[in-house]
Amino acid sequence: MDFLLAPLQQEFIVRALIASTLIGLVCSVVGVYVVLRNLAFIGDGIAHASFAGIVIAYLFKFNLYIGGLIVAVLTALGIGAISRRSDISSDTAIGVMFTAVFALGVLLMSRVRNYVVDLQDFLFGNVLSVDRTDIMLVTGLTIGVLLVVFAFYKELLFASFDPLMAQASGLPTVALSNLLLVILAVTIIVSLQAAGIVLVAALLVTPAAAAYQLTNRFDGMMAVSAAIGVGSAIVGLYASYYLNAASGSTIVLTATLCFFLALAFSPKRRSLLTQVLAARRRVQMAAR
Amino acid sequence: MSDERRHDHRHVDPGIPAAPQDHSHAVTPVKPHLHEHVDHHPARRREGKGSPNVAILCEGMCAGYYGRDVLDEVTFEVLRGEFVGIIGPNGSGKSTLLKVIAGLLEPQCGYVEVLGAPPGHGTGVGYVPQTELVNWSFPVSVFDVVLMGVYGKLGLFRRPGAADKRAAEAALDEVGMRDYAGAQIGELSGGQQQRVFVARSLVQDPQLLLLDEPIAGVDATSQHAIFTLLEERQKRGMTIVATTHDLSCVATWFDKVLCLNHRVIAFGPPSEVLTDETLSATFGSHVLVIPEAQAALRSAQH
Amino acid sequence: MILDKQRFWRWPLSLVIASVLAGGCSSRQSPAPAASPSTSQPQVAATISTIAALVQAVAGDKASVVSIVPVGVSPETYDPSPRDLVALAHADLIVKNGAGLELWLDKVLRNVAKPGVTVLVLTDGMPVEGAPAPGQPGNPHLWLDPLYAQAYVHKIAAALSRVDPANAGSYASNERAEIARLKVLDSWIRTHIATIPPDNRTMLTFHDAWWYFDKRYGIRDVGAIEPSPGQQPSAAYLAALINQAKALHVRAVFAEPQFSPKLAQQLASSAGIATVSNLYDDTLGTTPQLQTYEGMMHYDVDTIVKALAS
Repeated sequence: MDFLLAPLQQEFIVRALIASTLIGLVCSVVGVYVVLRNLAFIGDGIAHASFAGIVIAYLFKFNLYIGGLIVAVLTALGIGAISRRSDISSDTAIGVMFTAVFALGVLLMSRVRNYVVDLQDFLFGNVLSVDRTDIMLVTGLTIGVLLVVFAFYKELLFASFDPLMAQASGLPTVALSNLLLVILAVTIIVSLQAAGIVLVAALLVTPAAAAYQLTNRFDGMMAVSAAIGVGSAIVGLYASYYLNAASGSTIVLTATLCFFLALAFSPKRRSLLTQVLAARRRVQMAAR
Repeated sequence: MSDERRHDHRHVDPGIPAAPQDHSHAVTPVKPHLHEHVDHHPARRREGKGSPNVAILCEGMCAGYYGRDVLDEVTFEVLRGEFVGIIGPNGSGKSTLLKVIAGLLEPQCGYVEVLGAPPGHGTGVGYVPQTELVNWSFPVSVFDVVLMGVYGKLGLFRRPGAADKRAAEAALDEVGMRDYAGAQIGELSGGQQQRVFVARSLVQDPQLLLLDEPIAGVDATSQHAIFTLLEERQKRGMTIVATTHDLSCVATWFDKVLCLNHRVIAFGPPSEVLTDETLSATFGSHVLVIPEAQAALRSAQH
Repeated sequence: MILDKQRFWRWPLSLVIASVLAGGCSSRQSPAPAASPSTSQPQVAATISTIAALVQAVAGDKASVVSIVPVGVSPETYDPSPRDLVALAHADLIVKNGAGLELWLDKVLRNVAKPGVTVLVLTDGMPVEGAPAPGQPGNPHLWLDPLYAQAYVHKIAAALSRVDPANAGSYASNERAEIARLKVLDSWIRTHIATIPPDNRTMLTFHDAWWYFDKRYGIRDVGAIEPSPGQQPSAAYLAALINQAKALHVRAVFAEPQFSPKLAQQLASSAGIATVSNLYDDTLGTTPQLQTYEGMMHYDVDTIVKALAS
C-alpha cells in the first residue's frame, strides 16, 4: 500500500497523475476512431507537423500550445482535403506533406542560437513538468473533446461505418470527417505533454487496438479502450517513478503490454491458447 | 468550344480518407455523345408538376461530376406502386441516376421531381447504396446496423427510442434476419449483409425504395428473399427502383425496365423493351444508334 | 468447449502476471532519494557534481548534499529524471550556477520546489562573459577559475548559514579552510602552467568551458568544437577551426568525458594533432582523485601540462 501512496506525497506527481489520466482517457476514446478509420498514419503526421508550429511559436514568443494547435488543425484539415480529392495514394501525399513540415521545424530549431530545452520536452513528452496552467488546459480540452464525441456519437458511428449511406440519410459526412480530424488534432496537442510527438501515435492506437480484440460492440470498444488508456497511464506513471525512467515511454509500453495480453486472450480469434488446446486434441484423437 | 463550367453540385462524398471508388466516375469509351457540359435547360424548381400518382418524374435531366456529364437528356416517369429495373453496362450512369433521385447529386439541367417534391427534400425515400465503402471490420451488430436507419431523423444528443427499436426488429423480421441480430456485420455472407442493409432502409417505412445493385454477389437464397419481400412491399403500395446488371431476373420481377447508357435507350414493360436492338444499343460496343431504339427514345421523352 | 477452457485459463494467468508485476515492484529498493532525511539535517541540492563538491566542502557533515546532474553527464542539455525532481522537492537549499548552465531548472523549480525555498544563484553579481546584460545567459563556467571558486565558496557558506543558523560557526570554519585550499591550488596551478613553453600555451576544447581558466593563467583559447551547447558544428565552422589550429600549431585537442569523443578525434586527425586528452570541468569523475574540486583541478592541470609541454 505504501508504494501506492509514497509518490503522491509530491504535489507535482499528483498533477502528473491527473494530467496523464486525462490524456490517457481522451487518447483512448479518440483512438477508437483512429483505429477503425485507419487514421493512425494521419495522426502521426499531424503530431510531426505540430512540431513546426511549436518551434515557430517559440521563435515568435507566443504560447507554444496555440502555435502547435493552429498548425495541427491546419494540417489535419489539409490532409482531409487531399485524401478526398486526389486519386494518388493518400498515404504518399500525407507522408510527403507532414515530413516536409516536420523537417521545416527541425531546420528552424537548428537555427536557434541557444539550447532549447522546452522543445525537447515536446519531442518525447515530460508529464512531470506539468504545472497548474497545463492542468487547466488539459482538463478543459479533454472535457471539450469528450463532449463533442458524446454529442455526435451516433453520427460519427454511422459516418465511419457506411459513409455513403450516412450521407444518403442526410448526415453531413464531409463536415463530420473534418470534425473528427479537428478533434484528433486537439487530442494530439493535449497529449504532447505526456507522450511527445514521437510517441503520441502509440497512445492513440494501442489502447483502442487492444479493446478491439476484446469486444464486438462499438460502445464496448470505447469503454474498454478508455479503461485500458486510463489504466496504462496510471500504471505507467508509477512505473516511471519507481524505475526512474521517462514517463512517456513507460505509459506507452504498459499499453502495449495490455495489447499483447488482449491479443493472447482474445475471444475473437483463435488465440495461442486455443491453438495449443486444439493441437493437443488432434494428437489425442490421432492416437486413438 | 464549350466552356467548362463549375457547378455547385453536391459531390457524393465518402467523407473518409480513402480514394473514392464510386463506379459512377468511370466514363465509358462506348458512348461518343458524351461531351463537356452544355447547358440545355438550366435546373428549375417547380411546384408539383406531376400528378399525385407519379413517384418519379424526370425531364431532360443531365448530371455528372466535375463538369463532365455522366447522364444526358434523361426523361422518364415512374408511377406509384411500380417496380422498375434499370439496366445498362458499367459506367452507364445507373448509380448516378439513383443518386440524383435520392437527392445526393444535383442535376445540372432538366427537371426532377420525387414524390411531389425536389429530390432529397421530401421524406419517404429509402436508399440502399452499393457497399464498397462499408467498413466491414467495424464492431457493430446486425441490429446496430438496422437501427442506423433512424439516425438521420434524430437530432444531436437524441438516442433511438423504444419505438425505433421495435421498427428495427420488425424490419429484421421482414428480411428474415432476426436470428442474426447479435452477429457482427462482417461475419455474415454477402447475401445476408445485403438483406440487413435492405432492412435498414425499411425501418422508416419508405414510400419509394431505391436499390443500387441489390443482388450483385448475392447467393440465390438471399436473392429470392430480397425479391420476395420487395414484391410484398410493392403489393402494399411501395414504389421500387433497382439497378442491376443481371438480365436473368429482369423479365420476372420488374413491371418496367429502363435501358440506360448515359441516355435513356428504352423504357417500358420488359416484353417491349428487351429486344435485340435495344439490348445491343444499351450494351453493345459500336456507336450506331439503331432506328428502332431511336424511336423508343423519342417516345420515352414525351 | 475449447472456449470454456480458454476462459478458464484467462483469470489465473492474469492473476499470476499481475502478482509477478506487483511483487517485482515492491521488492525493488525504494528509491526514496533523500526521502528519509536523518533527523533535521538540511537537505541541499546542487545542480552539478563539481559545484556539489564545493558545497560539500563547506557543509561538512552538518548538511546532506546531493547533486542533480549525474557524474559524467553534460548539464546544459540535461533532462531531470523523476528521482531528481523528488530530490529538488525535498531540498531546503538549492544551489545553481546560473548564467545559462541550467536553463531547464527554472520551470522545474516552479513546479516542484518547496514554496519559499532558498535558491542560491552562484553567478549573480559576477562578471559573466558574453552575457548581454546582468542575469542573462553567457559563458557559465566561472568555477574553473579558482579565484571565482573562492567567491562561490563564500556565497555557499552565507546561504548555508541563513538556512541553518545553528551550524553557522561550523560552516564559517569550513569556509575558511576551503578558501585556504583554493589559494594554495591557485599558486600551484600558476607554477605548473609556467612550465609550458609560451608558444605552446593554446587550448582547443570540446565546449567553451575553459575560457575563464585560460584568461586567468595566460593561455590562448583557440576555440571550442561545439559552438554552443547541444548545437552541432557546421562544416564551415569546423573548417575554420582546423585552419586556426594549424596556424597556431595547437598541440592538443581536449575532449570531455560527458561528450562523445568522435568529433574531437575527427578534428584532431584533420588538423594533424596527435594528442586528444580528457578534461573534467562540468562534472566530476569516478576515480578517487576526481571526487573533489581540488582533485579534479589537479588532474586537469596535470593533463594540460603533459599535453602542451612536450
